[in-house]
Amino acid sequence: MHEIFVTLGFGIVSAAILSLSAVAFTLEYAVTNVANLAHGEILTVGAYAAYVVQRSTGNILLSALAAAGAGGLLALGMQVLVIDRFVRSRAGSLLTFVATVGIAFILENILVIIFGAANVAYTIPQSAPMQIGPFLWTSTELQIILSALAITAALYVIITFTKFGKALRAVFQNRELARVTGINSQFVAAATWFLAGLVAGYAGFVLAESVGTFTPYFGFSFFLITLTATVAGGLGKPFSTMAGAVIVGLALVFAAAYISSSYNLAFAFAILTVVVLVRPRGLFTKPGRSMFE
Amino acid sequence: MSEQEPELRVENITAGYGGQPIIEQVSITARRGAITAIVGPNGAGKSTLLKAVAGLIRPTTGKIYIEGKDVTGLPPEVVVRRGAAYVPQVDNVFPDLTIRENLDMGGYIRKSGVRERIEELFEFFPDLKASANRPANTLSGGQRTMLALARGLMIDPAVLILDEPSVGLSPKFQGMIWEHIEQIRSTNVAIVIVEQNTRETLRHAQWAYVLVLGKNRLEGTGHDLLNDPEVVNLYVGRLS
Amino acid sequence: MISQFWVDYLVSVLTEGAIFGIAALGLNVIWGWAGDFDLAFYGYVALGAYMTIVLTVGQPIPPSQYIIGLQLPYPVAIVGAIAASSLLGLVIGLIALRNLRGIYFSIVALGAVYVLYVITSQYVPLFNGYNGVFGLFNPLGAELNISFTDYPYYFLFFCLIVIALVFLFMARVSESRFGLVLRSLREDERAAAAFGRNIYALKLKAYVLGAAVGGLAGSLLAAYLTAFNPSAWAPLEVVILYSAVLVGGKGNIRGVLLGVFVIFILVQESTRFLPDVPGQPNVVPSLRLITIGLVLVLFLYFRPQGLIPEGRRRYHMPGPQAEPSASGDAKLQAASGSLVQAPGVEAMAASAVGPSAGAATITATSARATPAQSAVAPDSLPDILVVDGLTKRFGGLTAVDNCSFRVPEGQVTGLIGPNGAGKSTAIDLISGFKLPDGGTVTFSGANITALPPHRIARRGLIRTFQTPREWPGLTVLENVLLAKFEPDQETLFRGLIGPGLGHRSIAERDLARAREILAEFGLTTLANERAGNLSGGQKRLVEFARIRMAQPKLVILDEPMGGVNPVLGERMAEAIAGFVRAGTTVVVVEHNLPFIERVANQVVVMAQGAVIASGPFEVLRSNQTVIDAYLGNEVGV
Repeated sequence: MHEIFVTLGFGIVSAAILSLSAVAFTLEYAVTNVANLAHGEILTVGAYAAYVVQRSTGNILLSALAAAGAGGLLALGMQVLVIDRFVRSRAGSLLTFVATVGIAFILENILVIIFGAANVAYTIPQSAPMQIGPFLWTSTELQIILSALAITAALYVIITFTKFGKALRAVFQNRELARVTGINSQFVAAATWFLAGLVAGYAGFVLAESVGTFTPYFGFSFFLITLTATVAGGLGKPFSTMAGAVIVGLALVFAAAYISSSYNLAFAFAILTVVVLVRPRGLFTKPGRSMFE
Repeated sequence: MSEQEPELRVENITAGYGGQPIIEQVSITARRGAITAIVGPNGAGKSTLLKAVAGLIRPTTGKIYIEGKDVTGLPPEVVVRRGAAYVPQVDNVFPDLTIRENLDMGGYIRKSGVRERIEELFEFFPDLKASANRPANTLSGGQRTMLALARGLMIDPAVLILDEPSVGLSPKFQGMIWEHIEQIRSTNVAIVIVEQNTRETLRHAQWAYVLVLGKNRLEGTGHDLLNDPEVVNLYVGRLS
Repeated sequence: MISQFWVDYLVSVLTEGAIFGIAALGLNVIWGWAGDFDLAFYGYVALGAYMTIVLTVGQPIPPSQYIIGLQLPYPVAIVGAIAASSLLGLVIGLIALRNLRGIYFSIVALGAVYVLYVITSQYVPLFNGYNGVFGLFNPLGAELNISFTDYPYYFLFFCLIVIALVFLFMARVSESRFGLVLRSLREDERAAAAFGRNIYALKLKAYVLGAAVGGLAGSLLAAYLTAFNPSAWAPLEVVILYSAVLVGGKGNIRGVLLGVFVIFILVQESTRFLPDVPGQPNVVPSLRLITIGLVLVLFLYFRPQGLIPEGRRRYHMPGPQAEPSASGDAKLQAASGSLVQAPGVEAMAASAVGPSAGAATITATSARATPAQSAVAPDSLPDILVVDGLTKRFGGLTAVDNCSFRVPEGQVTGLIGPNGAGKSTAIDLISGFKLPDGGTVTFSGANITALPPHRIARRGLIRTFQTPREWPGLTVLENVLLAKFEPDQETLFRGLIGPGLGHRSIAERDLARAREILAEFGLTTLANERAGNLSGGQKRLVEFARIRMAQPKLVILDEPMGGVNPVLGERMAEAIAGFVRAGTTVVVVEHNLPFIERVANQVVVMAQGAVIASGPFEVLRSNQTVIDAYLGNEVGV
């Protein structure tokens, strides 16, 4: 019985990280209709930014802020300099998707030049695990869970109550109507990507904290799991995506604990395939009935 | 007709979606306090005309003036700031937002008085007030149309552009919509309306244009056109 | 005497180039021809490499493990590798190509290759996990008595032969019916289905073919590297292959090879001799990869068609040919008179006030010819199509509501009604593009309800769409050629060996018929023009020419006059008469009622999803119910 709670505890941490990454990805999609394959790189960049700041200042808070900031700027740059141009040139979402693949490739290799391809250790002094209810968590894990909750709450407030958040939802739900209401959809897109980048950069930071070591490629492999979570929840819908991330995160952790831990990606792919075949619009939406609908 | 500058003046615009133009050299004028109808058989380009006025399509020739100012080619975000509110035929509300939030969005460009305006509109559309916190995708067709109308009215527009508001509605709701439109007219807004129900529309219109295959064909007062056999011909194709 | 160093260098560069050229040609089948952005492709190359090695070097010394270890001759191992890659491609393709398109397909493919990567890295009993497989030194070298120093030359020669063979294979397939049909999937899937092509089966074939070629490349790569392990490949490196295919010209096999030259040789090798930054061994290789990525993105934005765009074959046509437009934005006015708006025919008076004379949109200069109406009363004819109780709901809206009507054989039936009446949805339901919620469709006595569109098309029911759905990247002639579904001629096998006689890829007989039809429609001068460059009216004519070629039992025309200059109406009416003469029953959905009057023997009127009236147009036009449906009812006081 105790075993389950250890696994569940770890599952909650994973779900927290995954939901941050997934909600950022889904926001990027919501506002541009582009699946950003370079999303994983935003996490990687965030992790490296934190690493650099941690090495020079040793301050965790500054590292976290650096990670978020770097992620935000990178995402903003991607959107304004590349993605938006492709979208405006009516290139089609598939062509733009291919472009994001190219961007992922470029970013990975830039990081290899700067930091080398080898593993970089990201160790933070940790306290002994603390007992919280039935769960056993270290201070780092607790920080991850609480900050994820806080960010989720903040996103909820922003998206639901602020003018910007409503404009974001408007653009996602009906871009044309948003425009005739006077919303500058280009600006909303750029601002959303910046916000998503902040969250993704921070997610990279906590992911690095949680695994302890990373390379320039680690964001991309985490991205596949992010993809699974987002598709399961529903592309473009922030709160369904988070729900999907929790489900997928927990499922993967339990699979890792009770079946095998090296095949995380394989399980993620299995879930992804099943979801895409059965409920391509997410676990919470009914699919159309024929191939052409 | 009075001599003052009409709220909306469209001169000889040609527009389409790339490739062949859908409307060619079309001109219309709409004045304050009048319902100006655009009717005609399908494929006439009526919706395209409205989209061009709203700024969603850029005309390749011609000019569009709102309150005397040239808005040709400006994007919709700017056109709405010049006082033209566009209510599309489909996808005309934000489905996951509540009624109140939809109206809030409608007032996006207002510098102030959003809340007051929402209350005013609730007086005008009491049915909406009752469901103020329900998401738009739970509303019936008639309520949705009223919400779309109200959303457009949030900016106190000089020109209100309506694309087939009564489509899919039962006759009872159609009647209600027309009542509201008449009331809006009496607040001195220039209403430009495209409608399927030609007869009913001509009954209400002060002035109407008949478009056929993308070009101006007839115009006149609603009353005159209602009784003109030529109009019937245009629809069911009897050769004269 | 050139120094040995440079000779060795050149040999290794060319060998690598040949190997990646083969891989790129395989990718071209999947992406360039069939249009699927397959991120799993590098996995097929990797599997080919793994399999080749384990099939030639036998079981390793423990603790290394291979799942299978045989000591087969190298050529046999190559065949085994190709088989393995093809099998993997079949499995992934079966799952991913069934219902997924666009990014969803790419995502699942990406997931699949990552799973492969993870399993080969982690699961030691498969291919020895992280340490990988090794030991393939100079295969066949001993048997053929080739010295160690000479081997690289012989191997290069071997690779060049292989790539030459693959190139010839691709060249042959490219211009065969199979190749054209694949491209039609890429250009417009719906139209391809409407003309009888089984999209799923075809894409799967292309996919497995591509995977097989990838496996072949992998087996050569294995011999070149002598070993293979997870550090020798990363799934994302497929970007390099994509860059090569895109930059060179996707869809064009010469372009693909040019792209390989540019990316693999120019970019790779031009940086090979840059001095390494001391202490930073990764800089130069990564710079190389960054350049490749940048080139990919820049080309995607500025020149997605590549350096050598896919050119279309020009067939010999009698008479003068229109100059092919380079950029393709020109609306072509063909020399042939039937397409040019005859001066003096003003379709509409643009007067703003008052009714103008002549509401007819069809030239009425000659006495109005009686349309091709037979004297036979429609009721006495057999019904080729019977729609009974057809229903379709979208959420709360019932678009088609218990719709029932009959289409008599051999005549022209109009389907009319105001906007939103459900006509197009009804067509989609009949032709298999949407699944009905209720009701049946009977065609030539057989129940076709809920059959997929390509099956229905093969039974002889073809439909057009509201917007012209030509295959824009293919020429007009190719569009017409492909209209006829020829199950025996469209296989890959036939693509290789030809239609049966002589060297021609496309049977002379089909070509002759296509030429005839183009002449009939006045499209001869446009035969070698890409269909996407034509004006709306011309595209419609191409669609009509396609119907003529296919000669179906029943054709449903969905708003053929939509977006078309009214002067073409007479031309279209003649074409429809031609269909009927050739034995095709016609259903026309139209808003342009004078046109319906001109061509239809009888009409069916729909409103609000159901049929409200049917009969001869003359009669219905005075029918109050019909008039009310179009003009609307007065609602209230």
